[in-house]
Amino acid sequence: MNPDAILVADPDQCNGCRLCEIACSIQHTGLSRPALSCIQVHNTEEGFFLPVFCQQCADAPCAAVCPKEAISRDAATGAVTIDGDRCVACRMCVYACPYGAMGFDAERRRVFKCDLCGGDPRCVAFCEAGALCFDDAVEIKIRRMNQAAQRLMRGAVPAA
Amino acid sequence: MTLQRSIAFVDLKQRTAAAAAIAPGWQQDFLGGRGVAARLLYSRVCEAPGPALNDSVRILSAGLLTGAAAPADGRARLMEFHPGRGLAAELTGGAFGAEMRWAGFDHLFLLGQAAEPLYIWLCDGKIEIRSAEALFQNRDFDGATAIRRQLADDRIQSIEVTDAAGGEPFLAAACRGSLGLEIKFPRPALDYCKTLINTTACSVHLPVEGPAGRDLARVLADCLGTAPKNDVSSQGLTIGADALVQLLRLNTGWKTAPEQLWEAARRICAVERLFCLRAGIADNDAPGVCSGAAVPPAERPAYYQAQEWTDSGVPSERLLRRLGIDSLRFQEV
Repeated sequence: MNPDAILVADPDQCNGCRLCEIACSIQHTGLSRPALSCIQVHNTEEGFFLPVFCQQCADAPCAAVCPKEAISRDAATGAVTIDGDRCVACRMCVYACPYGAMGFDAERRRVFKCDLCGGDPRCVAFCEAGALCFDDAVEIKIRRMNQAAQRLMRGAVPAA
Repeated sequence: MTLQRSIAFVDLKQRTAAAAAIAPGWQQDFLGGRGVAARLLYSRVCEAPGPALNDSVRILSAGLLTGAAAPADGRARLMEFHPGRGLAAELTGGAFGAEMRWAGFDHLFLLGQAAEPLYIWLCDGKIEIRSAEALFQNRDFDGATAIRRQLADDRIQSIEVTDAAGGEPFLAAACRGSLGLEIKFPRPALDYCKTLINTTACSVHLPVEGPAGRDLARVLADCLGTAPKNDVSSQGLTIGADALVQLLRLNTGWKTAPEQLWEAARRICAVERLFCLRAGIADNDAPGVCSGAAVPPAERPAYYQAQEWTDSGVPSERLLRRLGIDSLRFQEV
């Protein structure tokens, strides 16, 4: 388990298949129910797919706004998690999240968010398109740097 | 995901809509998707009182594993019957099939034609027939975009099913669901699905060789929602029947066997064939829809034999008895 690992999405690779939503909802609720998935694929009229999920912010607005201090960071996984016993479902965190990544289950009257599946996110394992990645932040930076260098070498990025 | 699922029935002439459960036993006998659609078509057209063959019928169907923990995509299959024009079917893009299941329905049955622009709205167990007039005040958008804009929801899935050749103005189906599909054994189902996704090479054993075997495989894939996305001419299945049995057990709790699945495929082929015979549809008017319709004349005798049909292409009484559908037999003249 690596508390410095981060979950990232590459929208260019996402094909909108929504298997990540199915896997996430089955993992957390036992149902195939994307409405309760912690990852949601937002699609635009232009055919652009953006997987939206919790960014596990360092200074998390959801935790800052919580009146019951029910949201904290799990030291082992690095995930920002909700203590269900403390949460009073006021939904301040839903409003505070700048990404719209907090969900509210109206039937069970509880908020929910990505907990990185305890350090092994299921959505990543089911992303056949390779749009999701869960890795050490430094490793991801190096990979992205290499990709950018290759694009430059191919001339895909216009010179400044 | 239990096997207790629903069909949305819409009568476009009467402008009425109703939901009904899929008949008991149909899913074991006809699986889902194409199979239940074929049985539904036969039931509503051939078994209905009065001359029902005068109305067009369109059925949008999701596979039995669509939206579940399975290597199935979210597409739906549209089957169309128009009197005098035969049968047609296509797999539609996007994720309409999965969204329709999350909206509470496995099938949408449309009877007749719309007299004015309409769209059918399926949402969390509800069916509404809505006017589509307002959608086209701004003609810059296609139907799907117009519906999404009007309802301000980018996750709506919709399909235009207008029968342009029949002079129909505009007809679309749109759905949005927040309901859940129960998965019988959630974590093992996910684990097994992952194993299949990671398996690059998979040998698929067909019960018979040649076009009949390919038709049976295609039927299974269309019923379960596991048809490969880019398949145009291959044998239609990329997952073996053993694996399909395991997926069905983990997702639905239904314990079946490969032999039972192949018998279900034969049953569906037989029902499709009987429908075409009853409706007087020639092979050329149902290519790719009615089993065997696309088989070249020279290969038909072998195909009929492999399907256990008579020399003239009628499912034999013995076969129908074995498949438990002898009440549907066609009397040759």
